[in-house]
Amino acid sequence: MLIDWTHAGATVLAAFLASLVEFIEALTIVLAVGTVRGWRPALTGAAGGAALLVALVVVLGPLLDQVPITWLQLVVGSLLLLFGMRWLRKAVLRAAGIIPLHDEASAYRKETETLTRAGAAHGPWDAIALVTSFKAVVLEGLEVVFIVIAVGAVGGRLLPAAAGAGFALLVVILLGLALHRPLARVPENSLKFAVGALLSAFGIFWVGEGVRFSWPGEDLAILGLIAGFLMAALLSVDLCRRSLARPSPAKP
Amino acid sequence: MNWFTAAARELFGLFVDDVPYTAAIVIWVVAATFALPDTTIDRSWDAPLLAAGCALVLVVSSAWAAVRHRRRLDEDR
Repeated sequence: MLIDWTHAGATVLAAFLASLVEFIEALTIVLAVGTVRGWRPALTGAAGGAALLVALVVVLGPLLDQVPITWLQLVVGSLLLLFGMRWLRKAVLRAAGIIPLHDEASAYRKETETLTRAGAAHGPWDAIALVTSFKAVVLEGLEVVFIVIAVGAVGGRLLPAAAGAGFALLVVILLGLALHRPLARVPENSLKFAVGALLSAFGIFWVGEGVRFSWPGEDLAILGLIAGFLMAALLSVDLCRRSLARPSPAKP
Repeated sequence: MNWFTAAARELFGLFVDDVPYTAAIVIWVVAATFALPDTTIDRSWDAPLLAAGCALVLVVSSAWAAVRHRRRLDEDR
């Protein structure tokens, strides 16, 4: 029972946090479209994108039930591991100042300028606004779809994963409605750290299961793996900062 | 077509950011899968070692990125 709750809880949390990051990025663009070109095409495009993503989850999710569990663990686990570790490395490099932090306010400004330069709409529908909004939701949402299907499919937890993503969407929509500006104060890099560790832990756990390695403590090992990846990431940040802070050798 | 290319690029970018880093993870996972069962005395160490190797790849790759960044900064001075 405890093991089941550990796994389901981690699934919901991973889907919620990862989706939160992606929905915040999509919200920035939809807000820019709505402010510059009008709310009707912005929201119609966003709704169309969201419908396409839901259709992808509904079609692809149950299809994965047909795949043998060992193959599913290996393939989905490997993809999830690569995905999570990519996020983790990016978060490390951002925290150490090697690459710049993602800035929602600056992304909003750039998008607003581009949309203003694009000129007035022709005809009853503003195609530029519609497509920009649709594309933002679909491209950012692809990551959400992957995460929901990946963390949900292997353990038969598609519903908790979808619920986590749905809750993240609700939170972002409510915040967007209340604030009417990009969510620039959300600690996006800290979220990426947490999500990277969670997804890497899930990924390596399933790869291990897929190749028939046995984890000490079975499903509870996921908690240890999350802690382990977080510690490795924090150690990496520390090493990077030390390397950058060391005084340069004098030039001859 | 642009749309399709953008979607394909986005899909590829989900998993690959830095090619040597991704390659190192894949190589370690494949090597560990085949080598660990034959090399460890106690099989209960296989899974933790598999995970530890991935964590080590993260540490080494980040540290290497810091060294390269530092070199670039020194060259610009």
